[in-house]
Amino acid sequence: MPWISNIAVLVLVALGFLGWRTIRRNRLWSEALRALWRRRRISLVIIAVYVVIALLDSIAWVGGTVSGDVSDAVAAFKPRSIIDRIIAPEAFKELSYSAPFAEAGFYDDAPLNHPGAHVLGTDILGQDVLYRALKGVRVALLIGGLTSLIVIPIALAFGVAAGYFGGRIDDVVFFVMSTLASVPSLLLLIALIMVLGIGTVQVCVALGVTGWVGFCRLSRGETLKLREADYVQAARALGVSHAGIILRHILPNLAHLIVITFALQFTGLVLAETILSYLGIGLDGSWGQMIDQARDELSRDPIVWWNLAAASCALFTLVLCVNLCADAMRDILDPRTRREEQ
Amino acid sequence: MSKPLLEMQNVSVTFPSGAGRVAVVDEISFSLDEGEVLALVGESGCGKTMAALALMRLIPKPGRAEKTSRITFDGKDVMAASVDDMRALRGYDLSMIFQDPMTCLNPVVRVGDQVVEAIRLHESVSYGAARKRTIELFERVGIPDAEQRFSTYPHLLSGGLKQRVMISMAVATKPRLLIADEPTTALDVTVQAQILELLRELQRDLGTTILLITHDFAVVNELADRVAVMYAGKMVEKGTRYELLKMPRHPYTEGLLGAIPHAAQRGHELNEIEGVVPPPALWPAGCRFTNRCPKAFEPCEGTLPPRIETSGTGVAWCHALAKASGR
Amino acid sequence: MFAYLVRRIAYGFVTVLGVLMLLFVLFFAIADPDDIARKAVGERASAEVYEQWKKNHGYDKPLIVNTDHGAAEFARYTDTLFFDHYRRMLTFDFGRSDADDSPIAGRILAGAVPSLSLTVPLFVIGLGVGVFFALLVAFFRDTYVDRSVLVLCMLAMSIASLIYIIGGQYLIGMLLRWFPISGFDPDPTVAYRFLALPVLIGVVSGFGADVRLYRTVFLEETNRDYVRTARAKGCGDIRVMTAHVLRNALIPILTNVVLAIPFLFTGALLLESFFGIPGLGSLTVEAIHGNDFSTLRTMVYIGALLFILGQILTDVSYTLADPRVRLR
Repeated sequence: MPWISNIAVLVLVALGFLGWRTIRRNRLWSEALRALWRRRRISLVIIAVYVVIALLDSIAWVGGTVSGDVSDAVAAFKPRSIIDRIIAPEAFKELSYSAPFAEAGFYDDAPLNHPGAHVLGTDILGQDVLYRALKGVRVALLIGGLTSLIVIPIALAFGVAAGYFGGRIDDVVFFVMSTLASVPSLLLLIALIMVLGIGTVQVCVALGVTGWVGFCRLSRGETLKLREADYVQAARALGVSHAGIILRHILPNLAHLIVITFALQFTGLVLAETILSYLGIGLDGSWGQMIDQARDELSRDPIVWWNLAAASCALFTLVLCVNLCADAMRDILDPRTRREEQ
Repeated sequence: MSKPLLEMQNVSVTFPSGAGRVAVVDEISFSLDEGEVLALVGESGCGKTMAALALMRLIPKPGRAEKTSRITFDGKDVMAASVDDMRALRGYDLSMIFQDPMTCLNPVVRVGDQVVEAIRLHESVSYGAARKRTIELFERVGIPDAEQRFSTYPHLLSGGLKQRVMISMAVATKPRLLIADEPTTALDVTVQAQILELLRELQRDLGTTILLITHDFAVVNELADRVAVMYAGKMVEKGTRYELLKMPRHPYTEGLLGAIPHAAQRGHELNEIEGVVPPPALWPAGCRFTNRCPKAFEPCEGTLPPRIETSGTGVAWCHALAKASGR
Repeated sequence: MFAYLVRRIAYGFVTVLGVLMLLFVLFFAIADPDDIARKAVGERASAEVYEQWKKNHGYDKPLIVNTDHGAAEFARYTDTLFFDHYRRMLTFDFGRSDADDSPIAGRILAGAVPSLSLTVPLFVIGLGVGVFFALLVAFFRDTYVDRSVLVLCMLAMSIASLIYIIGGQYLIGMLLRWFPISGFDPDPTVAYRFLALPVLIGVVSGFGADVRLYRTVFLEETNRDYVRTARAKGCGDIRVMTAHVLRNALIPILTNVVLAIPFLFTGALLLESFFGIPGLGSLTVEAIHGNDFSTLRTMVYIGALLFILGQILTDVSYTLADPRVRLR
């Protein structure tokens, strides 16, 4: 369903633009963003590159010529993304393993179709490893980013409602939360995927269901605290409506937590997916799958390391950059450490 | 004349800020004789607690006492003392009571054991002996049911009782000098009076020298022999209690005294001091009180005020006083 | 204390009922028993075999209401999958595996010992190492020691556990040959050789996140007023840390430790399967590969039970560790 992916890109770009404008108008957030840029320039640039790659990989359409001599009738009707069109993996392949920049095959020394062109070598099927690593970017951002983006508003709604109104709503939300939290998250994840079936949507739903809890608990607890805050009491005494209080006083004070949790959730989900891949219920084309496929290559002689290295490094870099930004964001937004900044 | 017990000379405490280090305590000097009570007075944030912590060598990082500071306690150079010497001194000859007894006691340790620890850190006595002494101390400072209270946890005690525990901890080893940092500020008014009374009794019985840090002139009036007034890290006036309370010379001291509401003088308008203490980065180069001083004139802003001997033993630092005295 | 315990356990039981409801929805309502049976017996099996299999595995009843019985009969509601599910789970009657018909309870009991012999050392050593390094780092706060350990933690946190295992097994097991690559022996004099490597890898992979968290807790405590009182009393740095800060910091650490118990389980899942330890983790992995829903269901249930039990234990030890917590 290429059109879903294309629409998602449009929506994300629009949301990104709106978000950017909102941040620009808010002094606190634009200052925080500037401080983040000062402290984590490299990480931010790397994350931006990942995002651009993922977006390029999400815009796909059917048609155009499948270059090379591969005459696959199915391939001509498959939507191909911009990344696919640039690298053209149908033609840019070998017969089997070849080392990075190699001129000949790794085990058989046979001459390659594209000598010296495979920057990260090729895998057992002769596919370019760099291409596979690039394709993994979209999967990772889908798991970590898009899932969180969809889950967070829902979790926030439940958490804030439970914390703010208390009573029956709180009882129900709290019970559901503690029930879900009692099941070890990986087991719950496995059970969900086994029951729902393996596939992008199913895995994302499963990740969403497990990721929802922590976020809901956090926003509920924070709302409980904020509800008792003097300025909320004052607003209530002045007759501000519930919706007004939630929108103007509670949500803005949850914003920094949302941002930080989003980042932590992101890395948690991306790392969790590697475990799912090992168990054979991960997403197609993810780095976890690459790592899983490559784990036996270490016992080959001579060893094939580039598959594992490429996937691990791509994963490590993304997670590290997000972690670094989350850490810096926490320092910047935390009023206690903000003073030490000067 | 014998040497004073404590001498603080040109003590400065600095903290890093955007441009270099800012001195929150700037070259202050005072001394304390054996058995004397000196009150260090000033608004919150004027650096009086930092001055005391400099003496204890407990200034929180990243702050530090500058090298030019000279602190002599009982003939020993505190600034040059080794870490181990300092540790032996703290809690033994040099004790401190803090402002907020609610947070200053370890919440998960029984209160008696916290006092026992203070004793056993410095004297090699058995736990049983230290426990016995602690219970005696509890009785001495007026904690009812001392025996039972020994093994309660801080959160079960009232603020006044907690402060009594703090005091018994501080006087457990009969220190030569007791620093009392706002000992009554966090307490209810009636409890305040009891704690002051207790401090006065202890001072009389044990002959302890006390450095009293406060912003409350009622407390000064109760306990102090001599008074030193600080403003924004600088000493502005020193003198005996009588001199300071009855004949304040510096405009800041006058202002502080004028801002005290007297129950007897209803209908009189309070002479509050305009404005607030500016943050350290905005302190003027000259007299730091310039912006709020009713008598400020042209030289105040740029140059440091001169030292003026006022009546008797009193000293003040003020341009206006210098002009009035004909210089 | 007793009343508190009873109330706490009662709430734990309610949560268990909630978990069972969740399992019912997942494994009976969403995953269709007919599908499970069809997959297990194969597409070409006769209808007879198919029905017999369903009967043997307890999938042959209607979900919630059994219309075979009259409207007034009680069995209308008890002779159902829903009721059976609750009854069997609560009485620990786990039945037979969907994959190979072996009794699940026996396999779980057999797997518990190898699992515990991996997770208990892992847990204890991990906690000890984490707290020790965090104390060390907090002790040297704002120095290059602190900063370099923090950077190290950040790097360590960003590596997937799968990579730790693959890398550790390759480096230590294959290149250095310090320990056997995989296997297990119930004899404790031999078992430690098999367990050393997975425990080491487990500790290292949890190191980064733990040290960072504990460091924050310690630093928060060192800024408290009672620490200043302790120093003013004449406590040295080490005494301040061990006698005052550690005792207070252990309270939040305790909470975190229990929250980490499910992670322990999941960590062990990978470790056990990689190192050939025949524990509960391996059992779960086998169940996933064999489409063994009944075993998987039981594992989720056991995992949740352990977690709820752990939570109750934490709450109780909380009241023992922190005098401020009053029992209501």
